[in-house]
Amino acid sequence: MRTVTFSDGDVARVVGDTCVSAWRNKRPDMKIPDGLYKGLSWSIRFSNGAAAHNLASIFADPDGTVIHAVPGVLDPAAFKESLEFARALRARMYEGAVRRKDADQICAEAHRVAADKTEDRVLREAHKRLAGKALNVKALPATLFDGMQKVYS
Amino acid sequence: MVYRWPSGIVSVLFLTCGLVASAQEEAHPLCACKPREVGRSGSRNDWEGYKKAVKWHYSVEEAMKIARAEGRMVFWQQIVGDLDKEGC
Repeated sequence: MRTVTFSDGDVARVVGDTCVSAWRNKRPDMKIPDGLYKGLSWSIRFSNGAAAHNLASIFADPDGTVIHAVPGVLDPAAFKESLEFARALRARMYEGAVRRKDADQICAEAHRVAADKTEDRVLREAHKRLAGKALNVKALPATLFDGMQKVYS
Repeated sequence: MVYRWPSGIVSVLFLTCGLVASAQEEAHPLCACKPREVGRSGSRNDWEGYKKAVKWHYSVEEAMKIARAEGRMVFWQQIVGDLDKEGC
């Protein structure tokens, strides 16, 4: 995603305009040498949903509420679609900076509807998991999407 | 005269091909990406591009603090590896 999606000027602009971005290594004990792909003159493009057990894009409100989360690789178009879903859902869950009382129900319902609509297996499973329980960034398990590779495969 | 391959040899060949194919599907020991996950190659490799494009913070807590002050969302990327390096 780094050399394709996050190098895309349009993605960078939208992310910069709407989000504050952070990253975390979910498996810090795994030693990966720098320059693993050095000398590779062409980017490897993965299909959407690939590496679902390694990668996740999570969108949250600053109060910690997880609004949307998608496992696996996302190309620029899929990433922007997910970001737009999160933005629209956040606008429904919050009135200004104030969280609505029924924000959790709105979030769960939106994910249920999205799960029914999408034809993408990985995305559908992600929506289903998010519809089940309200999640907070602080309590978000790093293993939330572990096992999703089976859905992708 | 038509030469027929003995069925035992054919079976062994199929088995060998299967084993070779499944070995090629094995996850990369470092990044656990299967070769068949690779779709296509199409753009010039640009490791520097992402560093310039998106401004990354090192902690979610720090990002949340800034997002709260600016009324923006937090985008959190969980990865395996170091975003500052060219690993997976």
